[in-house]
Amino acid sequence: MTGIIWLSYGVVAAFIVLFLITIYVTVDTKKFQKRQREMAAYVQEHTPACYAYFVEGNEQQKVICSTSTEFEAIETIAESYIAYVKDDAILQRIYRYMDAYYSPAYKRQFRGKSRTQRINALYQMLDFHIVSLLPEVKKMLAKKNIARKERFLGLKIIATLDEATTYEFYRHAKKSLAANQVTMIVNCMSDDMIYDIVDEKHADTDWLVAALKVMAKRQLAYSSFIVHELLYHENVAVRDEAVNVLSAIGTEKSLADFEEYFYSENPENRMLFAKLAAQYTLDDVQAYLVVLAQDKSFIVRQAAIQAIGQYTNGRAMFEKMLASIDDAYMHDAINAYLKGGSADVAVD
Amino acid sequence: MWQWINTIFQTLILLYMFVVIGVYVIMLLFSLLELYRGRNIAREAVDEELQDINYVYPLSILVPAYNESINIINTVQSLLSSRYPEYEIIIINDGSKDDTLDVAIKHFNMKKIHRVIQTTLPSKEVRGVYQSTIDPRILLIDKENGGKADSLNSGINLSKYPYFCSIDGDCILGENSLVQVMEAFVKDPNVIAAGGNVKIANGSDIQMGTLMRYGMSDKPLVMMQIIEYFRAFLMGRITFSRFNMVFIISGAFSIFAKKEVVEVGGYLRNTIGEDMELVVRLHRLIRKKDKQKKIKFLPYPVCWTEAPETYQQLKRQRSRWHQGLIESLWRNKQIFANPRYGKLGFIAFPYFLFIECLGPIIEFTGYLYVIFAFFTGGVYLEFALLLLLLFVINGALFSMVSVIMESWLMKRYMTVKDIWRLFVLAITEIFWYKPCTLWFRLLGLWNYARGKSSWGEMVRKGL
Repeated sequence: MTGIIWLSYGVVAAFIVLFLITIYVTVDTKKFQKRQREMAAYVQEHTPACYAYFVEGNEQQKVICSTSTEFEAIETIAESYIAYVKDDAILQRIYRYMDAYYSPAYKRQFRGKSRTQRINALYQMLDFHIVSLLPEVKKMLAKKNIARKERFLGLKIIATLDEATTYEFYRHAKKSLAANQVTMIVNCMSDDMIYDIVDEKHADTDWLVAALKVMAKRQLAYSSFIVHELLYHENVAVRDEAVNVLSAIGTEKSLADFEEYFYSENPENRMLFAKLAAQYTLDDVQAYLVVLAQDKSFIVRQAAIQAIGQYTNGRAMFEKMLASIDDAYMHDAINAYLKGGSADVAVD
Repeated sequence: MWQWINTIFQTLILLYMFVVIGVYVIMLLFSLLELYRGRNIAREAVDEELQDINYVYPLSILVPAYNESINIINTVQSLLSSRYPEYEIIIINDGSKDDTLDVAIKHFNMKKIHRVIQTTLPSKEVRGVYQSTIDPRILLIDKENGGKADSLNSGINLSKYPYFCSIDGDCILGENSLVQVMEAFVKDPNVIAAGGNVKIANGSDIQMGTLMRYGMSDKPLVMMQIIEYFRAFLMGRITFSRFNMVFIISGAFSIFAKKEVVEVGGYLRNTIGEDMELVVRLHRLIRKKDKQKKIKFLPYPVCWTEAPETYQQLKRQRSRWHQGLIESLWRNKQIFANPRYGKLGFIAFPYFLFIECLGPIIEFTGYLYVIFAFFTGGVYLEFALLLLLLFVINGALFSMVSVIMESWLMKRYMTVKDIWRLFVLAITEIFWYKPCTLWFRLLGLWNYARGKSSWGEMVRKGL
């Protein structure tokens, strides 16, 4: 019976504790919501001044805040600008302002014990290009016991603000990064740096593959010669990415040199071949593309049909294919290409 | 002799209750730890990072709809307002008896198109495929009635992207929910399935498929389900996800890698709990072929859904869910205590079997025993008190903790009044809601025993 009495006391105590926590949560929620309302009001109040100073470049305009909520409101406004503005002069004004007035706050957050606060500070340092905190980030990356997220964001910051040293930091962290994350890090670098990685045929194939992916995405054409050489690289991922780059920037090699992709079991390789084919004259590639347009894989059919569609006489070729080839999937893919994206949908 | 039986029975019931409470305490600790870690991360920055088409994978969104004419437009509009770089929406009208088809065709100005559908996965006959002339990303399959699993298979057959997302026809997604779930796939290529958090939106202001203002229903039955959802999603699934033991990712909102789903044969059509069944088969595939692969639950991406507002609807829903659970467990019984399945066989499966599935029988037997023993004089006051305390801990206390956790996470949406309403209601759970759901789950077991099977129909009020 004594045990039960103690358990009853325990349950009552738990009720009281939960009740007190709920009171705390209630107060916290109220404070949070009040702050949100204040923030919204401050954002509205400071937007004209921020617009004049950041966007119009009016140096006479003062953007001053006196409370922490106002401080956050201006940060929110600046964030909204960098999300949509492409003008480098405006961006540089925002970066300078944020570095001058916000870096002490970010530094405090970054040095704090809370990991989430540190991650938030890293996001802000990345968004606002806070150069003055770069040494802090490098110091952090040298540590062993940091979270993956911190490492990833730290590397993105280095790649954005001090790209030449990125690889050194990446080398120590590469085990904890997924392939997509490596590409995202490399994507923070300038075109020149991407060229450098490709030109020197970087020994780290993951790094090289990421650079080739970014190269294809940005359609960087100056290293075409090196990319051609990479077609014979010992690593298959590098070879595939090299083909991907060439399908984006063009090549002077004969399409026959890429035939292994045409015959590949992997649909992604066949798709690459179809993309690559679009770089040649229709007469040279139509035999290949007609076969690929009937491929069992949707992505291959789609790429082949898109390639044909790019030629001036592509439409005539589609008509010929529709009339002469009895392949339901191909008909479907051609119809989807011809009608997709417009209001005019094929009626059965 | 009678004394001896009494002692054995009481010990077993108490032991069971202690085990259940112990398991919940462990799950609670893990989920608190997980939520604490990510509680203040600027989610907007994370989402912004993933808006690049080159890093997230294009997605086919499947919306199976059976008699969803009231909600279908809102659901599709919420998908259209999703911030996701590339996707297609496939509505699958599963032979609805209401005007779901006409409503969708009219609203999105759809025209019938000729589209060849690959028969990779089995499904009922497709009567036609439609495409929106307003937004060509919206497709509609009109097919014969075959159930939700059949509809999803049909959607997978038509889908063109390597990942697909299944969304219930009565659900509304947050604008960043898709990209937040996809983040798991981008960050870790070994993830083959991931599900988000489901929340109840009865009482909220939803316009054009967007949650304009979160509001809570005044109905105690709905509010109690809100607490129950907190408990299910915030406690259990977070912990299971941490150890790659997620058995259920809600069919209401989940993303799958198409390749693996096709490899396991897609959704099983002759079952009620098709979502759980698929996840279990994916786990079996993982153990068999590639042990690196993972199935995740993510607490932050939110999907809003409509909860039943009457006992009749709740009964139908819960008995169906429970029937689906037992069906799936029975079908995959070889996982139980099988060393080949590791922690899945020794932790996750026994949890779902003994606590989730057979729990109602054990609890019900406990109730019956106490009543019987009370009249025959076999029950001791100590035992009755102890059992009551354990029920209070298992019911009220855990629910109150869930309310606090949710209030902490959702302070952006919840009013102070809402928090207190839920807190007070949580205390009452064991007196009315728990017995009700216990009964409904027993009905599910009974239906399973009788071999009754149907997708079921829910009367929609509309979000």
